[in-house]
Amino acid sequence: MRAIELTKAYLRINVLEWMEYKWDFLIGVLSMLFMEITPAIFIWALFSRIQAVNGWSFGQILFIIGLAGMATAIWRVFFTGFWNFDRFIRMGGLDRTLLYPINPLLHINAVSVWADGLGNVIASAIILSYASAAAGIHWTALSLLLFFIVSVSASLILMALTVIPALAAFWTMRSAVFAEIIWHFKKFLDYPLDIYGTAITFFMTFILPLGFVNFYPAQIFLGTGKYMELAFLSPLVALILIGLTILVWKQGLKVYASTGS
Amino acid sequence: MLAIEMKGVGKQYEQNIVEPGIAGAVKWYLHRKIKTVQALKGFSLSVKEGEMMGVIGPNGAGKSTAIKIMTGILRSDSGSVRVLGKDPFEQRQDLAKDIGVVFGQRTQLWWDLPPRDTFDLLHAIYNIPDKTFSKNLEMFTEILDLGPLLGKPVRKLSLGERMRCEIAAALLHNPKLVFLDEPTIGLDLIAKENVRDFLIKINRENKTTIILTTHDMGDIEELCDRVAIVDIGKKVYDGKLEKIRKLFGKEKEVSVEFHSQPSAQELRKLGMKIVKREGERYWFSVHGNISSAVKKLVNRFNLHDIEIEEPEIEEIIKKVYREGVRNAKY
Repeated sequence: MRAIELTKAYLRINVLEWMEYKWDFLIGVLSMLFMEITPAIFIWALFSRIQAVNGWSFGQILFIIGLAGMATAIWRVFFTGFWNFDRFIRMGGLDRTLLYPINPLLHINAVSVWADGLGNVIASAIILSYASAAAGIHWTALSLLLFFIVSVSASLILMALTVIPALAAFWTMRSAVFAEIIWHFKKFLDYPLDIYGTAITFFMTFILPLGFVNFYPAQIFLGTGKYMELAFLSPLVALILIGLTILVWKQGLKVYASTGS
Repeated sequence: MLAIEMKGVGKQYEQNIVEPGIAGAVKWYLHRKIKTVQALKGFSLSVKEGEMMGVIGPNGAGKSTAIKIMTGILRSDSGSVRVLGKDPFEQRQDLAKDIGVVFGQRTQLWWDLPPRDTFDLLHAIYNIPDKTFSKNLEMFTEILDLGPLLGKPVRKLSLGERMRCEIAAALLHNPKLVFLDEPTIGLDLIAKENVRDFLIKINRENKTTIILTTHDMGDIEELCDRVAIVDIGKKVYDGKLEKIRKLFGKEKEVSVEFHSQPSAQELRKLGMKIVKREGERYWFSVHGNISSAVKKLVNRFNLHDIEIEEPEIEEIIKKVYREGVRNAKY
């Protein structure tokens, strides 16, 4: 099938590019691994003194961190094409892209695969297996499938929330800073959302829906019975945000077609 | 059939005017100054299938804008555009299958990888049948002498080597129409010849329509059936290259070597403008009838030698660029 063939071709060229810089690749993977594992170690140190944070146990918080880590890992490997979109436009990359008989959104996304995301994958896998043991999660085929759906949806949410601000480049020329601002909010995901209070929880649910990356869907696996009305909504939130991304993209492309800069 | 038909196309840009320095940037945020640039104005162009057409003009004349409109990157404000029977803006992705584009200044090759890897990606992107791909690759490798280059990372290639790969990349999918934006820029003579021979071959064998922008008259002389000169967003000339000489190159020079130095008064009486003087040799510029000027000189003076010099095409074009077409017309 054409989609598979294309995916293979894009992946292949990206892997070849990593191989050109083997040491860079290795150092990148290691640095991402440590970066991802640091908050988990911090939580572990914290819980050597206390029993629970706002009713959440060590294993539960670790799982929430692990889920965000896995979403970040998938995002980092597959969905970072727009991170430097403003620069991409300035260098004429968009002109070049528009000359290919292929959906430009998919192309721009696919030409950049961040190999160091493998470090995130490894770190998150370690954290999640620890968390599963500590929180007493029993994995079944169904829950693994659910986990797959949830983590992909979560990574797509991260994608949309970084692509939409990057698309501001169509209007402002420089946009990397907007995506970075949103990225800073991701630090809130290291703890259960409800410890921050109503205002922040509301903001992270309905305004900048990062809560659907890990906190709400984690409840499915933790079996807490809390927030069940929101727990299964991550795929829907991802879909809505992708729709919004496409809308902004089309609008931006219109602006580009009339100004060309 | 026509490969390209542009009629009365207009295109305006809005450009921010930012004064230099931080103060300028702050000022711009408080009070935005915008300048409207008319990139194209009533621009028309038609190109037949299988034709090789050159588009020349000074920088900022509107050549690149015209190409971006023809390829569907930009939408025109007014007028009509058909490329291979399609509306390039509305059917951009569909049209992309049949066109190839080389931007001389920008690469589509992956910088850190050998060109071969980019070719493989293009193989998938354009959905090129395996047979066509390997046949083309083999042919391009031979004519453009890519053999030693295919395995080297693009960043290590010279400009000429990279350009050859660039052209190959743009033609792998057998496009019916190819746009080349300054394809020979910065190339040495041999590389230029290689590229030109290749384009001629592709044009003859596949009936590929080729649109070429360049500052190199050699490209035009060797490749193009027809040339359009673009200036300030308008097409100011469209026709054979040779005819440019007749239209714009009316001023000829007669150089003369006198037996004995003529007096200043004698020269003034002649009523001809002296362009240059080197010892006994004088260059006079002549408008219109060259034979009466020659007759005048031969009758009045004892000449050692007389020569009629026609300006080079390159010189004429330069004059057109410098002075605009209206002024360049004598």
